[in-house]
Amino acid sequence: MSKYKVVVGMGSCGIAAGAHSVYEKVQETIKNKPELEIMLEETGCIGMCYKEPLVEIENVKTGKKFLYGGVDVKRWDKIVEEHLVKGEGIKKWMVKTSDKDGTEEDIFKKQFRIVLARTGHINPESIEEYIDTDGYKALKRVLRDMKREDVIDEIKKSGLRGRGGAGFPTGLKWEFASKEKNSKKYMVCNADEGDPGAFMDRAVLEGDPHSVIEGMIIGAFAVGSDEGYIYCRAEYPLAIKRLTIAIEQAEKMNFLGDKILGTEFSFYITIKQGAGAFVCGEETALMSSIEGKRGMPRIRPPFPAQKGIWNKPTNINNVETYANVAWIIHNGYEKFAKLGTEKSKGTKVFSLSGKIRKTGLVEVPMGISLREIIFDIAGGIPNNKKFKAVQMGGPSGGCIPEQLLDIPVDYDSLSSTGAIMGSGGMVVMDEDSCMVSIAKYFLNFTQNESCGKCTFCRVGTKRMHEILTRITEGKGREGDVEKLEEIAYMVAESSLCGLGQTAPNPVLTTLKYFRNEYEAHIKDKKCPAGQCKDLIILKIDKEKCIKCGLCALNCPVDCITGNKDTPYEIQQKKCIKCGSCKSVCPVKAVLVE
Amino acid sequence: MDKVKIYINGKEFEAIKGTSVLNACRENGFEIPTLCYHEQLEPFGSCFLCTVEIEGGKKKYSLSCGTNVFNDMKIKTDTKEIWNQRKMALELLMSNHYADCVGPCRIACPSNIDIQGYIAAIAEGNYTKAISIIKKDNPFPAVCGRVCTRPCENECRRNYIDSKVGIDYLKRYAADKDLVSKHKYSAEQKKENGKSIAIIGAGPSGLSAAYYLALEGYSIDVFEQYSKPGGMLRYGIPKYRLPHDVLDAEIESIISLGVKIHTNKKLGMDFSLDDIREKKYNAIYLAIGAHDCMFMGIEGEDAEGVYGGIDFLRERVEGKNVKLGKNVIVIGGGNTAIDSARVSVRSGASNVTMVYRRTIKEMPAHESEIEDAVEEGIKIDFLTNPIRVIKDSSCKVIKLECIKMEIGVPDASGRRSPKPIAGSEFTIDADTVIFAIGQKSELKCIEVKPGTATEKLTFTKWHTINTDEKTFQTDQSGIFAGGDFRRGSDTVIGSIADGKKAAWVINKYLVTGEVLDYPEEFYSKKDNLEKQKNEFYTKFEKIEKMNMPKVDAAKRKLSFEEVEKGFTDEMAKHEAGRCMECGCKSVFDCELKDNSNLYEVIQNTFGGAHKDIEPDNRHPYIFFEPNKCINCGRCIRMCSEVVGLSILGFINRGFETTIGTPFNKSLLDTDCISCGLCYDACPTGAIEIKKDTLKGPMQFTKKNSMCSYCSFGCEIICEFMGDKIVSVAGNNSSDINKFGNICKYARFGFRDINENLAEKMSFEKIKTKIDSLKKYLDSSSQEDLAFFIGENVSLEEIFMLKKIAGNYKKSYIGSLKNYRFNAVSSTTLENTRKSDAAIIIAISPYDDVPMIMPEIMKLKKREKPLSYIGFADRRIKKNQDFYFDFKSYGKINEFLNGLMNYFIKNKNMKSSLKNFDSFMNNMAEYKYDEVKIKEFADMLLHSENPVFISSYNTLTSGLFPTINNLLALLNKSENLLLFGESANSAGIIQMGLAKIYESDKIKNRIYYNVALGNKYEEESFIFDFRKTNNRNIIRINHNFAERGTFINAFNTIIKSEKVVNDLDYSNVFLLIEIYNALTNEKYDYSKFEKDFSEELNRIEEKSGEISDTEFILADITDGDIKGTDNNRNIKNFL
Repeated sequence: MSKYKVVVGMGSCGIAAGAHSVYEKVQETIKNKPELEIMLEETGCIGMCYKEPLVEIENVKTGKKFLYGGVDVKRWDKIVEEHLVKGEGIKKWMVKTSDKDGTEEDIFKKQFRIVLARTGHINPESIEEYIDTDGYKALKRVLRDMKREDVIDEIKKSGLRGRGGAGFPTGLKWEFASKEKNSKKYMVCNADEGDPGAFMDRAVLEGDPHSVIEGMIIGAFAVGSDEGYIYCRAEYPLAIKRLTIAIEQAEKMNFLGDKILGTEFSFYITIKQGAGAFVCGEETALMSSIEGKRGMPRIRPPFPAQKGIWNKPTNINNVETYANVAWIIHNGYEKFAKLGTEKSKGTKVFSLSGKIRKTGLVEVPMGISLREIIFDIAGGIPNNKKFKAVQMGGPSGGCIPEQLLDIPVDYDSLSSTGAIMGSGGMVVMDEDSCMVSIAKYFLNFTQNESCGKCTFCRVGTKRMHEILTRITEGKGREGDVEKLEEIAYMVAESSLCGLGQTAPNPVLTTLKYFRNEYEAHIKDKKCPAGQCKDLIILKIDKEKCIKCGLCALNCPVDCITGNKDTPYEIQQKKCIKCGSCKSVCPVKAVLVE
Repeated sequence: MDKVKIYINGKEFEAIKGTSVLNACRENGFEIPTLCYHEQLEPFGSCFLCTVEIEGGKKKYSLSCGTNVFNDMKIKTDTKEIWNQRKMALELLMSNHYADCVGPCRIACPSNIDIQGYIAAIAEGNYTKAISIIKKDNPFPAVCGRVCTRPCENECRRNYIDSKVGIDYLKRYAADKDLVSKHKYSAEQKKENGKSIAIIGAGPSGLSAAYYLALEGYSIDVFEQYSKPGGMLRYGIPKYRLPHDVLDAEIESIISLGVKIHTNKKLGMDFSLDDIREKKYNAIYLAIGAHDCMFMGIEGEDAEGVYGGIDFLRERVEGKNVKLGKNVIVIGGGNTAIDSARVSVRSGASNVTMVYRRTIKEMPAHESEIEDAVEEGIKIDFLTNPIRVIKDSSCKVIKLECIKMEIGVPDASGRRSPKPIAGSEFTIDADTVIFAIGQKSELKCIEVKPGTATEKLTFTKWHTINTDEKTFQTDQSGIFAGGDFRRGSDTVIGSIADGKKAAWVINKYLVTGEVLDYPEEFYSKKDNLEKQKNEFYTKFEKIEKMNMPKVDAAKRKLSFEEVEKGFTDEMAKHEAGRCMECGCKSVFDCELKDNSNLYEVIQNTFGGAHKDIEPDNRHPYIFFEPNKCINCGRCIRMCSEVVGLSILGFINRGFETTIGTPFNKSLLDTDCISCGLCYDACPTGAIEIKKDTLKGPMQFTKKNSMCSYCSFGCEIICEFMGDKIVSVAGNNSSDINKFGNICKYARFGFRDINENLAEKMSFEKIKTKIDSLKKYLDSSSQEDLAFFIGENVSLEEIFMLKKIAGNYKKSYIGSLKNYRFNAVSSTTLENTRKSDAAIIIAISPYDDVPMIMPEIMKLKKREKPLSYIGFADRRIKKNQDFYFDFKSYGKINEFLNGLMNYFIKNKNMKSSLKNFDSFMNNMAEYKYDEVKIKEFADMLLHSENPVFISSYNTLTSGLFPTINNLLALLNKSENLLLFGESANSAGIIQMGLAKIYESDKIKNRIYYNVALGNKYEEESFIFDFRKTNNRNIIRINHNFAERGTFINAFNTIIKSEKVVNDLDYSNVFLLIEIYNALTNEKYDYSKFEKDFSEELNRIEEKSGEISDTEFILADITDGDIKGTDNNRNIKNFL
């Protein structure tokens, strides 16, 4: 029995922040200070990406847990010295403790964790830890007590809707597939998380892979499938590694494979790595990719449930959807249905990024307001800037302005704003964000990721992007906004798949809520946010200037002149408007006009 | 079939349940545009042109190709929103379609003449064709070929490289050739329709209208003020430019259509418009031209010796004596000015000076005319303007006072107008001054009076008549106007264009009662997306331009002889070869263009970036131009869904997405079978099949025929020019090769004929050949004589050859192949299409009979099992449910025998057919691998109507008995398809010529249309159409030049018609002659027809019945079973 259990957060976010070296440092400590009796473990993402690397210290005897944030090698030494040796916790670095007096407690206050319940707490490479935390109990119950119809019924009653974005009722989807008469059916997990700024599926796969696998097995049983694919992007190597381990473990324990747990039900899972085409997240394109063809969406109907992979009935759900399944079966649909709103049940995971204090993952009950998520949970906007908008649902989503922050987070309310729930990406923008550029950025993404099939998506978005580009370059013309709207409308109405249908959303919502910014660009040739290089001039306020020369020192093109006696001045002809001067000026004397 | 009720645009219709909205609408007469849907392919849904509105539908625009009808469905196909949406789809596609539908020359031509087309015809040496193309839009090619201002040449893309193509000279060349030809081109004229039209003015515009209206069947009266027709062509253009015999000849061809020209009838003097109206003409076309000279209004214009340019020219033509002094000054810079100056030189003036107020750059006269004038000694004073004519006391001109000019700053319109330089006045000696500064129409001949036919006519301040720009109708209904009267003094081609277009409007008006706009065609233009620049054309080779040969300046000055002598044949061919073929080869059948036309697309609505990818010209006949591609994916899907290969695919993403081969390989380096179905599917010109012409495109005459390269018997459509086939396409109304699918043999095989055609032989020469044939036959003994017949020889020819061979009773007659067994297919194509399994045995479909693949792929689409037992072929492997490959026929034989042994042993299969017991004993020794064959065997047992597909090679190789036995054992003897390698392979067998010969016994050989190339033995005697070294050759017609009857692999009797002319005699006629010569009989064609039809009846009766099948106990060892020896020549060139 050890004295201390040290758990290092080894999700991709933690590793990126330096968790590897901390992990090695802990190993070193174990070697050098055997007397501390440290047991080292790793876990997935707990959601506080902004505080990574995170290290949890558990006093095994008392069961008390202390979570340290921002741990680097130096801090670790200090933690060893103060906390482990002397027994005095370092409060200022603690973000969470079982005594509830950590500095970051409030981020968990409004959360309710189903999908993320285990991530950051268990070792994702240990099936035992999964089982210890009620893992595979739902599967056992299903195989022991339930018929296929019962499972579908339970899921239907829970009100679970697809977490991939469209929000189709999961139980209904399973029912369609289960009713298809065919000896071969496929069960697919869509883990092709491609939205910029979205990483909740990755966190689940990295932090709790068995929950997804268990959900899939239960689904396969309900649908009558014996073969499954997890379509995961190759850019998620850690997720793929942990999934591979988890599948092997599940097979070994006969949760997967031939005659599962002694029943007549068999199910196999293969991981299919996608090469990173955004459109492959679209279900028909994904199926095409699994078949080894170019990922291109096709006409529906026939729906995948009728004719999917190799023309066989196929059921496709998203990672997060599957991750809810075992919980629902284990805890009962009533408990799940109690959460959320009338039409949107349960919880939803959001990944917060952009101009926000606490970037990371949160899981909240449906119905909570955006304002609560952004301000109460994530701490609002840094650097005393003003909130401007939040982009919901990735490039297919839309920008929601301040005045709509109080709407409840559910599928239908979000759709009414012009944005979508999407997979749950939230990119927060502050007053410095140019909404035209934001629209251009997202449109550029969808344009480049268009599979090139539909006329409107392939050419229409290109023409829209060209118009946006010229607007941001100060070459906007009278009538451009109307032309944008006209094309946007047609692109949305005349594209085969979700990518095309939603590609104009960022443009349409910014036009809806920030039309004046477009007009300022076109008519006044000004960028109100001061972001569009061709429309701004950087100037130094002579009165504010303290003649420190930092601006001149940092100018990459040497276009700032001045000295100790005369205030500094920018030579406009040479200026490339990079903003370096502005960011280094200690007295904010560099102004954008 | 279940039917449902649907509503299209509010009306009730019926549709078959399960059909798509698109097809349901089409079947009920509602055309819905689409570029990606194709009847052979699964709906794709990418172009978004086929959208319709479905009431209660989830989306505003539903894809009609991908939505199936349901009961009470309410569909709208023609709302404004849908129209806009389709238009935007097309405009988006066109914004990235960097291509020219037609060359810029054609667009520049006011009459929109298919210049590229006629240049192509000239390149082929076919000037009748060229004239037929020109005359569609211009009835005056010989005239225009001499006097046109050639706006086309200014736009020629060769200007970016070296210098423009001599388009006009080429036109003249073709026209001159035609005028002296025995078979002058004449357009097809419709029957008289009983309506009549009056045309005022027999100039280029009036006569053009007369020409096109006469072709439509109207009775035409043309009223002309002067004594001869031609207008400005006769009276305004001097003879040295346009000889009157040329003009007369072209006017004559208009008169020959029944057009009546009433000369010396001047409007306003001899008759009025009211008189015309009273005569109950159905329409009037006013083309009175502009014959009134304009003057400057300066002092002294009234002097003696001052003339108007056009008056001067006309009076010269009329032979009136115009007094010219020594010093002639011509004022103006247009063609009339140049003509006046040059006529003055020819009339004896020694000093001729032209005075022009701008510089040479601005001169409206054609540059070559200016050059000629200078060569003839005419002086041109640029930047000079007359201000006064100085006359002497007797009112005679003595001097002209002028002022120097300078070019000013550009005005609002960007034009820099000249300004006088103060104090620069000077005088020039002159005794004649000709003002050639323009002409206007004479309006006083039309009296606009209330209550008359003319009451509503209005005119402009420039003395032209007001008309609608697009209908040419004046303010008075039923009266149309064009030419200089409408345009003001303008070009000949402009007047011709007006005449042509007005004729179209007038015809429509008289047919429909409506005055419709003249339809301007949609043309995609590269310039709409990117202005063309010199640097785009650096890769093109410079080719020297042919200059027009002219009469020497010194000599021509003295006469009115035509200055330009015209091109020689070589010059014309060379100049035609300079054409860059800017226009698209698919211009005549481009779905993208047609739809853009229909939806009034404006190509540069969106602007923006466009693709600019190097075209792929690596395949000899299939050409890719990715810039034209609209990503409909039809080619990709045609290749994968219909052919079963996947040569093409989408590459890149987003806007950059395009079509290509993996790793941009040449098609030749892929598994491509060059069938060209990708081209057939392409809705635009992104994939092209090159035609066998030097230049193109042009429209050709078409005739139906059949392909003779295998025994599938595909029906084809040949395009030909003269006696040469230039392209072959599938006949899409065929029941054999459905949708008109064909393979490379059909598509490109004719090139083999074009390339290898031997010289023609006169029948006189043939007669001496027949004598030597007789000697040859007489010298051989009957036992060592063989008649080898090619397998694409018609039944008629075989019949006659049999008759000839019948004289030599012990001789061999038959195929060069040793067919050991007399067997043909026992099933039909129709039954094949209903099959529930396909088993391919010992045949390589992609090489031997490619067009069976679409049928097999259709079975696959219906989820029927496909099996292959043959040689390793990865192309076919991927679509097969069962695939067994072997290294030899012997191994295939062992496998099949093993399979039969398995059936007999494990499935206790028995048969009551003859020889079963001994067959069973024979089979017992063959081994089988139960694991490998079990599923395949089960499938065979469960298939009710399988089709077994194999080839005649099994007849020669000896594998056939095994296949026969397998079918007999399975009781499926009626399910066999056997393909031969030529059109009439089945015919040879059906004519009873499946035989074996012993080659070492045969000394004397007659080869009849056997494709051996130069491999014929020296001492043999041959009938062939191909080039060969053998001296004993009798030239016969090739397949396309001979009609005949064939039997294809499905036992269908096909009659093939003659497509082109080759020889003056038919093959059958030749064979009858030979027969008579050999036998001294008098067999004739009518006897032949009777005998042959009896023979055909016999075959037809026989081909329906199937002989009792038995187990064949052939004594075959492995050594007997060989591979194939396919000798189709065409294989070598792809």
